[in-house]
Amino acid sequence: MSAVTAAAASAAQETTVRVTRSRRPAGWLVLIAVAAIAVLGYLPYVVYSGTTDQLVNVFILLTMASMWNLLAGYAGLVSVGQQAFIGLGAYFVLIAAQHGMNPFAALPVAALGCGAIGLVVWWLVSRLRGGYFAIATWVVASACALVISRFASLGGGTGAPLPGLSGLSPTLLTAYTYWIALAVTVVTLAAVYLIMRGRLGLVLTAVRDDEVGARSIGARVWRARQLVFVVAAVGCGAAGALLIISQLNVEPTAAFSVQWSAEMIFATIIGGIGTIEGPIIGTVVFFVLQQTLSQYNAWYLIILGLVAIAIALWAPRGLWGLVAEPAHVRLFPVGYWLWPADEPGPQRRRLGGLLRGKRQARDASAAPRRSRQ
Amino acid sequence: MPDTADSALLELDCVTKRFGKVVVADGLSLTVGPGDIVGIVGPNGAGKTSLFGLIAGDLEPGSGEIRFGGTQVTRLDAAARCKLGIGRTFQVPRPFGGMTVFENTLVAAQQGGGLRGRSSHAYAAQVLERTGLDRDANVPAGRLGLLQRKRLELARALATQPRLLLLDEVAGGLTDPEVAELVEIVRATRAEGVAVVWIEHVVRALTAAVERLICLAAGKFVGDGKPAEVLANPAVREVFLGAEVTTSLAAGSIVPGGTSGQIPAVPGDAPAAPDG
Repeated sequence: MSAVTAAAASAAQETTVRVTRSRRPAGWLVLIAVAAIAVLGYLPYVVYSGTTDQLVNVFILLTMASMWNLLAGYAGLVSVGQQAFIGLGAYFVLIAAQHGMNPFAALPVAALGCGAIGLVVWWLVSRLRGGYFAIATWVVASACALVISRFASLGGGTGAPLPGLSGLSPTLLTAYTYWIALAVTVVTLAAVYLIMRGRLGLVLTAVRDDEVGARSIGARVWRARQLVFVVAAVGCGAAGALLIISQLNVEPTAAFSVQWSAEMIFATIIGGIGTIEGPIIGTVVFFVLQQTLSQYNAWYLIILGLVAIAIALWAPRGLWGLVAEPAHVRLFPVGYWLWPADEPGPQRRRLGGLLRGKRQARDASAAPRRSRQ
Repeated sequence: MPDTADSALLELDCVTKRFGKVVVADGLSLTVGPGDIVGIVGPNGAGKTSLFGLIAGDLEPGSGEIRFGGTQVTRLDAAARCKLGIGRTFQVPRPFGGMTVFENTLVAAQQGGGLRGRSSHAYAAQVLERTGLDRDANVPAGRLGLLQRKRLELARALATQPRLLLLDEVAGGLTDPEVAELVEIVRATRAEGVAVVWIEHVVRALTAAVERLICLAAGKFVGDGKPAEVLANPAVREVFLGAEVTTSLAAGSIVPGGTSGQIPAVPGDAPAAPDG
């Protein structure tokens, strides 16, 4: 291109800069993730099905909350209509099962179908911003519910049971459902992590911080948003597919309920919006509150509301921000750390070097730290 | 200043923009050649920042054409124009507050600059060094002070590898030594062949760097030429100094419009007033 580009290219070859994705060695995080997945995967052998059923609900909400965080926390798309894809995901599985497809095999198909629908919905809502966008997504979700309930073959307004799983024993069905839900959640979190770690992630973080600024440095904000919207449609479609598989029936008002949006927003906000870790923490807190308070009926909702207000007022970066910011903890290293030429820099090592790494981090702790989340 | 269309980098042709009854650009025509350095002065509300908005693609003109490097860019958005080579800074810095200084320039190098992987890392780091931000590379941009924020604006625009750099009051609010440092960075950038259009209230910073000065008032150009000539132009003195003197130079020693033909030395001492 221009002379400047040529100069930049030659400069890039001359200077070798050391850039790592986190200040401290992060290999042990992979070990923790693998261990956590292994423990969770083994659970059906050691706990009652009531527990795994409950965990399936945790996984469904975690998937939804991660998607909503990507939408609202990074891309600035405050959607209150993600239940459109939850409902459609559930009904796509129902349609596939009615035509003889195994519901488990239908899950990825339903998720991808929701992605295709998401592309169409994006075309409808992408020109709207802020509150208008939020209301438009809600309208789309309600319209989807109305259309679906017109089909007698899908059970109309009263819903329909899910065929195709009656051959499995209840124990096996519970275990399979649990494993599929775990797999969907792991894939979702891995996808969010990989997106945020790549070029698109840097753009989305810039959009999160300043949209006009992001445009001015050449970021194609519209394209980034479109991609996030479609990814969120796929994720919520998978969550909806999990929903019908775990409940073995589907009913339009419940599947397309705005309650889903309320829950995913709550989990994301109290956990910490605009961070990958936030929805995880938020989902866990939400379920703990639900378990301990569900016996108090109305008080349960009042306390949930009070918690949300308290977090919004005193910890706008959520519980994760409250914990992670002072302690400089990152579970998902998505940032960039530029090592000054006069610092020794990171050493490539495996487990044997952990102690050395700690000492190095402590030595350099006087310097300011990065805080991209 | 080039006079043939072939050699022009930026061309504005009768560009008009209105917000209701307010005309911020009234049939503006302007040509900037490759490597030119042009200063723009004018009273508050003259339409200087709007002019940058029109050039950079944040505002769409009501009528007229904008060409960049021979390409029609009138209907292109800001991101597309940035990729073509128009880099801009904002008067009120817009850092990506939650990202580090290095990440701020890195995303600019990857998006506007079109660089990938290690070459984007190296170029972003190099820009930080040039703009004196290398010590703050890993600091969250939201924690920077004003001077560093202004530098980051410049660094981010440079990281997009512009052929035309639009500077919107980068010297405003800075002390004299800080202004001198910024002028040095701008001069060095220009020495690499990057054209610069620079809006500034701190006229001394401008006259130290630019070869051509344009005065903008009420959406129209009222003076265009060598800085000394433009500042001596009676029409310029009336719209620019008249407004400035009554607002920010009231306590100064110069009486506006008193002598003619004398280059006003005082505007450079004026405290920078934010553009309205």
